[in-house]
Amino acid sequence: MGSKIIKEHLEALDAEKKYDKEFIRILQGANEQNLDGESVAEEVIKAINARYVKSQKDNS
Amino acid sequence: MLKVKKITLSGFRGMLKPQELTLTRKGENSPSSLVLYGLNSSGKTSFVDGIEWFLSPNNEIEWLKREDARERAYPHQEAQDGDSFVEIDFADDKKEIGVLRKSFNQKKVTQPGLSSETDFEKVYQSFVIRPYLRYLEVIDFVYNRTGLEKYQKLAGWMGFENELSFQEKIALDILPELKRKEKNLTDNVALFERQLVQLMGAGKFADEASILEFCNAIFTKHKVNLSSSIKDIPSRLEELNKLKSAAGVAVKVSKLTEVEVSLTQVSVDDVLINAVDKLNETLTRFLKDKALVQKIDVIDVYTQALDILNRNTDAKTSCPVCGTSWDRGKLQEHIKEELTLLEKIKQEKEEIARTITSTKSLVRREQEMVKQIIWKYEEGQKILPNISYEKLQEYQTALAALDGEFGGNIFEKGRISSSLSLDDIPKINTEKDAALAAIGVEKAKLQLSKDALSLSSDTEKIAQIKDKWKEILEAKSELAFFTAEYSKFAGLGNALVKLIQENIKSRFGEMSAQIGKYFGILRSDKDIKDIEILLNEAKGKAAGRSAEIQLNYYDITVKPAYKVLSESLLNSLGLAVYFACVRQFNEDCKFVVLDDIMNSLDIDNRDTVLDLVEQEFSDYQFILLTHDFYWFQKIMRRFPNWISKKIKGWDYKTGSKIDFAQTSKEEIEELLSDATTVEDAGFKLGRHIEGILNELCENLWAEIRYRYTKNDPPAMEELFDALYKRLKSKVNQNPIVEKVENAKKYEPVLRNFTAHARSNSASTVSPTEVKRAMEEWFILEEDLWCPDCNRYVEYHRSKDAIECKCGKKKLEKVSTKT
Repeated sequence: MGSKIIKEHLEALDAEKKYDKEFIRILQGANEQNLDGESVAEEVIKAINARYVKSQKDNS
Repeated sequence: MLKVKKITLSGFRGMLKPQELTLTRKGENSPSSLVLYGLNSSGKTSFVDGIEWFLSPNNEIEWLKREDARERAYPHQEAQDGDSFVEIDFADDKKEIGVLRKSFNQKKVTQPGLSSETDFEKVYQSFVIRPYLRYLEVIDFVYNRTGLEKYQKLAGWMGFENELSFQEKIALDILPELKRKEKNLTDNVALFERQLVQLMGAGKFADEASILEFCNAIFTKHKVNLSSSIKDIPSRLEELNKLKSAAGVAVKVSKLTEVEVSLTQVSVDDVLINAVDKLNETLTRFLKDKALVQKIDVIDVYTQALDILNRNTDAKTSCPVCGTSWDRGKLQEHIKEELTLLEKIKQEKEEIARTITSTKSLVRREQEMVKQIIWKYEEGQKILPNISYEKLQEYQTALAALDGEFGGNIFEKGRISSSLSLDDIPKINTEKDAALAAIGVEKAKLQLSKDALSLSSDTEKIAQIKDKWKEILEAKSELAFFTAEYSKFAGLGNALVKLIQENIKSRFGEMSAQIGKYFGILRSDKDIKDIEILLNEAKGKAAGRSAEIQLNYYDITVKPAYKVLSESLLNSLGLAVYFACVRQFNEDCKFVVLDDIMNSLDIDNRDTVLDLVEQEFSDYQFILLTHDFYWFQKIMRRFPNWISKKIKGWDYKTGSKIDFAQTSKEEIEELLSDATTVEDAGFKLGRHIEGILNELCENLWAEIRYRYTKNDPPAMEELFDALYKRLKSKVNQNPIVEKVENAKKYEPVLRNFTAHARSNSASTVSPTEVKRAMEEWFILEEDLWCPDCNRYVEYHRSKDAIECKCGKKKLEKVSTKT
């Protein structure tokens, strides 16, 4: 079970519409599943790589 | 709002058979507070353990975890599967939660069965602060001296451990890992740029200006239009290719030139060999003191040892690890020093582990590059079978072996074996020069004009520069993309950390005033004010993750507070912090379990905990456990509406035997009703009178002879005399003085039953005498007791008066006998 307060903080940041939604989702998942830092970093890198590939495709 | 009506333990910890702790009075349904007395090892803590396990969303008992006793230690050793459970019957004003049971699962010890997951979730959500406090936790808080440790403890009490851990994950794990990825991308760009510079030759830079300058020089040489922009280069390259065809440059020449240019741009250097050597040097230096490095594994043992020491209050103690006798303070210092050193070594080891990973990446990149060169050699060999690249192949084999070396535990191996040698580099380069020379000779044999050869070579160079530039742009684009995304993530991470810290700061702020108020009740004797919990925001690695308590001590601001406060004041401060947390954050959970916490306070200051409970927590339900009988009786007197129970005994096969506790008077009367227990009645009465006389003498400032040793307490006679003298001097002819005299008449009867009995034999005492002694005593006691504030009278120096705290019971001075 994750932290209720972190959940609320992330929801508040999401509502600000200033922050990346996918990253917020990754942190929400990390909180709920109590993931270790390395796994979260891996997930973030995976997301960035996928975005990069997509951006290259979109530009070509 | 939750309170507790009944707690049942079965097959759990010291309770084999179901044991109930009922918190409602007979015929009533509303929950009451309870005081439970039991000697040490009578099963009190089993109830606290049961409550903690029941209330823990992680199904853990913290102190047992620290003692390395895991879930298997929770059930009674003889309990059958399915017999171990904790059940709590809640009183819930919302009428949502009733009886809930958590059952121990022998097959999955970390996953107990819950009678209702939804209702358990509601219970977990009802409190932020754990509603139970053990004596050891107060001691632990006080003696955990660093700001970080204190912060962690506060995190536990205030329920923000998860936030603390999340904050650390972001700052210490996730962001550094992303930074390392960014560095890898930067290294890629640097490698491609070096290769580009090598293609163009010395003095050039991997930028558009250098490329344009280099290419335009070639275009000028071959009378091709100059490029004003790097974008024009592909079209100029087409023109060069047309010129090459027109000049009759055969495919063979083109192929040879391609190989030639490719070989020119890459070369084996000393970067990798130096990196491996440096890594081996670091490993050797690090592993020099192998014994110390192996001790990293015992960090946990030291941490646990420190934990045990923090809970031990004896001045002399033995090392929990090796058993050697130590002064506690010195041993704590020693273990802390060891821990600091080991933590430093652990960090160094982690840094070396990262270097190992980056060196491994370097090996892989070198292997890729060598594979590319060999592929070019193979292309060349198809035209020139004599081209040799044996040295490079040997280098490739050595690289493959080196790659294999990175498998397994390198710290155990101690070093990375490598057959790579700096001497091999010139040989590989000589081999390359020989191949380039052979290609040159072959091209000459083809009898092409110098211009045609130059055209072929230049065209290939431009083609490769164009490709390399594309690679650089792609690598830079990936790097820039990653950096931008990293910065987005870091922005989010920092915003989240900021919110977490602001939330914690605001909790600290909200609590500070409350702590000050409660501390004032606990220790009204000291001039301490303006207590504040402050978040350390600028303190190196612990920034935002450590806290200090600041206060004003006799008009001087002190931070951290524990550096100037005595042990006793610190214990009071710890309690004030806990109680403030409960008041502030447990709105829906109105019960608190206190396990022997009075023991953390001086005897002089124990009453103040009851004052705090009475004045500030009358809306809370307390479950108070104690092994101090005197204290237990005092609580019974102060809180007559509480349920009082005692554990009469404990045995392995059943558990605790719990019974309602009677007042001393009721117990004595019961003993007197049985002719065989008259002596027991006498003992009970004697001890009771001594205890109360001590309290009264203290309350009234009666003069008692000073004693050097604790083994010589004042006798009953002396206490009676002191009380009589004091009352006589303050209230003179008030009838209470006569009542003291009357009660004292029975002192010769009771002295045989006191803590230090005189020589007379107890067996000569008759039941009638004990009964009369009891009656006289309780007449006196009643006159000195206020049933409104539940306290004995006290001497108030400012008024020079004897009265109770609420002032309703007063002993007036009477000048003449009435």
